[in-house]
Amino acid sequence: MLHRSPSMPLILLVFVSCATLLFSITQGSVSLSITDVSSALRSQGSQLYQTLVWELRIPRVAAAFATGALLSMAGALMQILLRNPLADPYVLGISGGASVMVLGAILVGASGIILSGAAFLGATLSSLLVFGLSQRSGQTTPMRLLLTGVVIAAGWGACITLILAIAPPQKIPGMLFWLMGDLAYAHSPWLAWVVLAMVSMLVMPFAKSLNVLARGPLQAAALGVNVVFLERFVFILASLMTAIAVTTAGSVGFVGLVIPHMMRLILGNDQRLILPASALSGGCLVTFADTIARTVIAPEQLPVGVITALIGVPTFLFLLNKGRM
Amino acid sequence: MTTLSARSVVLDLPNCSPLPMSFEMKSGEVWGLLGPNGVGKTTLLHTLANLRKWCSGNIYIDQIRLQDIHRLSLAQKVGVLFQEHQDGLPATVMETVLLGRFPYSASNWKNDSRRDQELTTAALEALSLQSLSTRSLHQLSGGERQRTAIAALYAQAPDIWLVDEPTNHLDLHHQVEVMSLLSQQAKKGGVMIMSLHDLNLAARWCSHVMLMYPDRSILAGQAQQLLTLENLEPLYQQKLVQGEIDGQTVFMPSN
Amino acid sequence: MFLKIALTTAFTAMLCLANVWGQCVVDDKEHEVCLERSATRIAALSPGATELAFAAGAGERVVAVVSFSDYPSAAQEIESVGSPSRLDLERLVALKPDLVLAWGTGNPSEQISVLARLGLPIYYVEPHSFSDIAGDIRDIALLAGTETQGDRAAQTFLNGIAELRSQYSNKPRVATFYQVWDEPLMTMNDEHYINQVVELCGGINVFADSSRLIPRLNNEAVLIKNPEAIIAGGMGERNAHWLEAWRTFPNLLATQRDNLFFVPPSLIQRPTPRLLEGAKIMCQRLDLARQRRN
Repeated sequence: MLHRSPSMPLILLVFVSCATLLFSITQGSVSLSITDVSSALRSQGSQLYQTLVWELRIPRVAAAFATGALLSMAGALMQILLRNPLADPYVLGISGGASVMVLGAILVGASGIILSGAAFLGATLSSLLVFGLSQRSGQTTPMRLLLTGVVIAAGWGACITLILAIAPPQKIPGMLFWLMGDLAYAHSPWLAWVVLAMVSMLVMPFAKSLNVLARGPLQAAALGVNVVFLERFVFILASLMTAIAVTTAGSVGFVGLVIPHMMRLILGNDQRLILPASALSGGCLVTFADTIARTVIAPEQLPVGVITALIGVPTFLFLLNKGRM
Repeated sequence: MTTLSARSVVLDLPNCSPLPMSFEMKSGEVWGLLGPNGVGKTTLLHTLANLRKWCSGNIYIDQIRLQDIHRLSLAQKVGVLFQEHQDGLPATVMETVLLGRFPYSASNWKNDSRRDQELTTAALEALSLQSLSTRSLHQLSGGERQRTAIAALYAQAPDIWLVDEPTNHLDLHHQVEVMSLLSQQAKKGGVMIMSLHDLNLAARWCSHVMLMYPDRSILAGQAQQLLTLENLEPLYQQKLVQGEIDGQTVFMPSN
Repeated sequence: MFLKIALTTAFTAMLCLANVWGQCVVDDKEHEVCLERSATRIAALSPGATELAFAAGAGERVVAVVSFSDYPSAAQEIESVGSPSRLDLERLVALKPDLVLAWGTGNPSEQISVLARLGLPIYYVEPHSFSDIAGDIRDIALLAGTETQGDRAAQTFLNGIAELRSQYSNKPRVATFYQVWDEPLMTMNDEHYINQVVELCGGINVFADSSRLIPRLNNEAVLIKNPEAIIAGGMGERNAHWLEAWRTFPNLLATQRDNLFFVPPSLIQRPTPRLLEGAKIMCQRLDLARQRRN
């Protein structure tokens, strides 16, 4: 990592991201040629094509990319926080908490921005619960934290089943969306992009400190890192990112787990590189998965969570089997 | 010239209130902390690095109170070798050693300076780790990990070295290599403070020792004066015999 | 150049004047839906909406349907835009509909709001009663400019219902359990239109006073109510195996009298004109239960 220029892989990833975004805009259940799309992008040509590209494809592709980037970065941060490559918002029950709150809000008839608020509340509550309960005599062991997270995730699972059981039938389809992870209902990608940009700007200056934190809190403190502040800071940012990702696309699993892990295998362990690389490749994965989801058996549409899990589970098992965890 | 001093410090140890301790440690001295398990050797080392609160008393580095020193300047002055290596996320030997330079390069986000890189290379050489530099920590043996941690501390180049069981996991050859490296650092002006289990290592390498008794005040002073059977037998609650081999004092448990 | 613009403007204005057709109706969500010209490209986003559109005589104008739109058979030839709960918006928009028949509780509101934002007129189809069904047929016919056919269909439906009412609704009551689903066991309360069918036939829904529209039950609740007749839909049109399970309770009045009846679910669980057929079958079955009292 020392001798190679760290910006090279990032430049490559930016290029791949642009290519993925453009590719996804050209794909859809209505087949448009490259020329159709490019003239529509320049606001020329058929009104219908302009509508398809500007009103349907671009917002959805943008939402997909931002969701993937948020989840991957949240996963990367949590893995540092817990010093455990198995940590991700999904495994730790943070997206579960967000889903339960959103479902509860739908149950009492809320919609729109209140749902985003509920998701954030749920994500934060869940993280506080996980981190609070896993502390004993002021010390948190990563194993204890992970176990607490897994158990709390199971608890949220039960709450979700309960809410689904008591919910009026007309609210069930909307609720299932949150649980499956689906970009079909993503109304606006802007909140996700704003949060992504904001969090990136906040977290990147600390990338070097995060490298130290990855060696353990005591070692980090001995090297002059403000561990208490940094851990809280990372924790809040990771919760925020998870919450926004959940409000945009529901709970999409495995992205936050698999992507940072793959990036570490390929690019090493420098967070200055891993964090932006995770964001970019997470964005690519979800964008690509969503493109598959909306075209592969069109007109039937699949939830994107199905595709990410189908890609994620075997990849994860493969990595686990190679003994890299 | 660096001085580390403690005035009536009471360590924060569970279910016992240890007696207050006072001592002064200076550049060039190699201190050995000796005492039975659980007496607070590790706690003392962590306290001196301000990683742990203490009950009362004051600790000074060059007359400045420990808690008044900014954490990054403190990390430039004081380095710690931990006894138990926390298993973090995967990292290579090179990356780990380079982290020793963090206190100096924390504000330089983009790149590590040439000096950081030179010191890292020097540290890898000093502990003969060059051939392992790209290996992942998880693939190393216990001894290799211990040497990696010492190399990171070497790269950190602190004035005060707080070293917890430096010879853990090391074979005899590397024990000697590491101990002589550490005493060299003291000769170059460092304050070397190490907790040790092996009396004979203390007798051979330490200029000063601190004997930490569970039930009475510590004894701190010159190694030659303190390393006697009268002092050591109550320390370990063990009968000992003393002898001399090759001009070196050695201690053995007696039958 | 100026002349050309002026001419174009004048021509457009004339076109508009010529088309002052303008119809407004109120949908099942109490929204006013107005069209400037009659709908020629209708997207029906639930199987029920498709049936209603065909009943209204606008079948030929339906350009988009969703999965499970299997009736009438002509509907199966129309392009599908995915499942009702997850629409392929792109394909839908590309079909350039000028009227969308949306399903309030089946289509995701986020997707429908995208269509609304694109300026497509949305008519929500969500009938809760016999008159709602007739009203929807009339509304759709009005918007599609097929009033004659629509009125006829709506009237036929209402007449049929009125006939059943006069024939059966004053007969002795039959305590009836209608089984919506098997596992979990589900029925409906008195706010549901199926309850109206039961009452139309002189039955009494034993779970009419449940607090939820579609309550989930266990067998115990049904045994305590001890209905005289059990009517079930099923997984398919001929699959009556749900009823067999009730034979394991010989003390149940419905089992003793063999009043375990099957009504094809497509005839009763879709609020469309075919409900009339379903209602006829149910009335006959309940009447059979009455005859078995002696």
